[in-house]
Amino acid sequence: MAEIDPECNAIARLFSQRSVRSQSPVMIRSKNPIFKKSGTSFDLKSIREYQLFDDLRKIDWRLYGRTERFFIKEFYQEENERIFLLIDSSASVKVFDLSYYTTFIASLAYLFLKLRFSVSLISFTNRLEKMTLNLKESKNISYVLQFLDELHFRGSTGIVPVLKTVKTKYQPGTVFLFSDLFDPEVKPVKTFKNFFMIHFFKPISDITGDFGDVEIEDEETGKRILLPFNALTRDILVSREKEFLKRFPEDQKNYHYFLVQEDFPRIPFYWKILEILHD
Amino acid sequence: MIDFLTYIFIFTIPILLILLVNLRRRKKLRYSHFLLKDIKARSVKQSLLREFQLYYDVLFDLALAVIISLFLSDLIASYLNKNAVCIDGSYSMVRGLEDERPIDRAAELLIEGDGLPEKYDLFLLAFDEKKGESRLQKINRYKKKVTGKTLAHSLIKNFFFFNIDKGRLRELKERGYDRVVFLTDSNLNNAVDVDIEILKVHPSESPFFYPVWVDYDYANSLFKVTFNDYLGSEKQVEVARYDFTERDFLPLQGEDYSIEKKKDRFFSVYIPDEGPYLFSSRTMSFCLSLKRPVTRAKTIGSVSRIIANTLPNLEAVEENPDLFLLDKTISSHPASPHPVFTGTYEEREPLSDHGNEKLIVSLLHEEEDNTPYLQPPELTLGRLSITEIPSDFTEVAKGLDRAQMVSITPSTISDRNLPLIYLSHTYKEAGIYGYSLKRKAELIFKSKTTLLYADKQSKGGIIYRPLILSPEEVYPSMNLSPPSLYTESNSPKSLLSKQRPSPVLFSLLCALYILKCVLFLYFHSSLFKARKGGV
Repeated sequence: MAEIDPECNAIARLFSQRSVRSQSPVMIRSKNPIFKKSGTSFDLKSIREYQLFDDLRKIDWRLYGRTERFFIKEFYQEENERIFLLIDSSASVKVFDLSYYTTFIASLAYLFLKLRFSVSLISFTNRLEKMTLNLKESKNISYVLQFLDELHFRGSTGIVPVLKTVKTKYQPGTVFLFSDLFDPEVKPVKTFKNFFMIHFFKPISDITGDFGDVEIEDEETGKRILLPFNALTRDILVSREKEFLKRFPEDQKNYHYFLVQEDFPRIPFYWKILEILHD
Repeated sequence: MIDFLTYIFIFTIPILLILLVNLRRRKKLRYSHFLLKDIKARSVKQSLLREFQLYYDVLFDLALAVIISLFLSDLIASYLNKNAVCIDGSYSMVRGLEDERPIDRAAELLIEGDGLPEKYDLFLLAFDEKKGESRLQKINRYKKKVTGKTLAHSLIKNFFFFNIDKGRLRELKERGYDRVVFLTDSNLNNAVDVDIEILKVHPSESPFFYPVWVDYDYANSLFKVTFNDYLGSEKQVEVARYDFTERDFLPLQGEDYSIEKKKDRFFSVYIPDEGPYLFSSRTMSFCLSLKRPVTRAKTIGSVSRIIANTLPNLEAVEENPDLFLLDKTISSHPASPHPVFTGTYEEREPLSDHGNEKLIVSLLHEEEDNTPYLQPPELTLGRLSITEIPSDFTEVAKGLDRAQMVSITPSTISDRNLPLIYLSHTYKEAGIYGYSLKRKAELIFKSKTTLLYADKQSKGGIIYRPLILSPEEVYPSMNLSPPSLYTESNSPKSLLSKQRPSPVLFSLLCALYILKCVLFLYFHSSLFKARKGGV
């Protein structure tokens, strides 16, 4: 069952108290003023007296007629992108602790909702499975939890076609991808304005334990393989895991990669995500 | 093969149990095959390697089980090694009522194959009438007989079961047979000095007699033919003498011969005249040509002439002597530059209780050690004889310790307790260095004793068959206690002995186990670095 990390409230509150002067993130739809930038929308941000560096065209002449003083009206910038959480619900994800997996996603969604982001959740296998779009209030976290609880982890993973579909259909700006990335075609994606690749990874040696023969079943295909798990096999698999992880480089422009393992510290991660979004 | 299957079944059970436990305890995980997909899409070599890693311990255990089973079942030995099974062709094997003879039991054993190698060559150690000696004859063709009865019948019909030299079993080993099984109703009694397995069949319990000894009593001028008696067969013996005019054996009357029952299982028949005699019972007949043993001797020296004239078994001749008699004082013969020998004696002493006689053998040799030597009976065709002492037999002579030195002097010659003088070899042979003991024994045999032959006649006339006696028959007939090595128990038992593990087998087992340990270390130790794509 999906839960929310108890620290999320505190994180949201602390992050809300950051200076309003700090630069708000661009292109982010949020009702929290700290994430909003001045722009040309009809959403009024503030009314203040004219300063020397202000553009004369922004003077509200109606207020001047009534008060004979120069006032400037500031509006929030028009925004049309939302945060999309793409959740891998293929059968291979079941190797992880699913409550950890869903709690991780639920907590992040809660933070976004708490900070008044618009959040859309989409589960996928090799196609889009289920979605909940445009949740805007923290009170809607129940929909998030219900969405996560109702996930059925089955089917195979197909990340690349899913990303294409999402991009074509929703044109999202910021995308969070939660997956084990067991897809031979997956690679760093830079087509989104902000792409967060949250890689859930569990080394096979963590589950095999001591040496011995293991029968490994792939739930995506239903096939089984008998493996002599000894030092020789372990070394080979470790080398393959390293090669696999090398396919995902560190953070680049518009691309952020996080490797989530069993001892992954979630609270600093939440904060870092917010920092990245804020910058 | 059945033994092998039984052993492999027994050894496989624990291996399969361990495998079953391992299979039950095998971990079952759920994990994507994404990182294992190249393992799944493996080549045949990689697939085999992976399977080997999974089951190598079982494979090694099975290999060890197979090797041990092969060894225990003698399957390899039966296919790779040459095995021989030899049937005893002595008369004791065929005596008795039909279907109760030892040969019948031996034949049944051959058909059933109990205690015998899987594959073998079948031999019969029997007396060869044509060659006049015991001979090993390969009779593999008789293995095709489907019943023991037909096999026994064929063997009796085609071979002569009389008396054998069991020492010839050694030839089977010399022919390269690794395992030799001797089917017999008696004991080997150290007749062969090689490793022979004895599979003993129950001896016949029917009445039986057998000629074991022929001697001539010079004091009473009587031939003394001693038989081995079993279950009172002496009462059934009839004696017939060959009549050259009638050309047939005519039965002797009771006054013409006498039978004396002796201790143990022997009886003697006393006959006064020379000639061919037939000794028969209801089960077997023997024909013996009794001839007074006289040795033609040429004497050199006065003492030797006295000896030749005094002793009844010597006849002084001038030409073609069987042997030479030399005085002690004469060191060499004029015809030969080499000093040879002086003489040998057998001294007869009366025993106190039963009036029997005891032979004391002595050897006098002036150039070497004068240690007396009693030659083993099996080398003299059953007769006690005297000879020079080969170095190999010195210990034997000392062990027997039945000798007494006698000097050749007129006083000793006049001693009436010295009736017999046997010389071990002729002058000519004595000059040859390195003569064989057997040749000497044959010389004595031909010159002194009667010839034995069976009551069989071929187109060419009578066939002579020398009789070779076993030590356990000789010693009692001489009223001597047989040495302990001849007093083996006669209780029926199988003397089959299992083969000892060979060093090759032991090395193979060790190598397999070490290899298994090395593989375990290789697969489980981080000291060994993995090779790419090795799974």
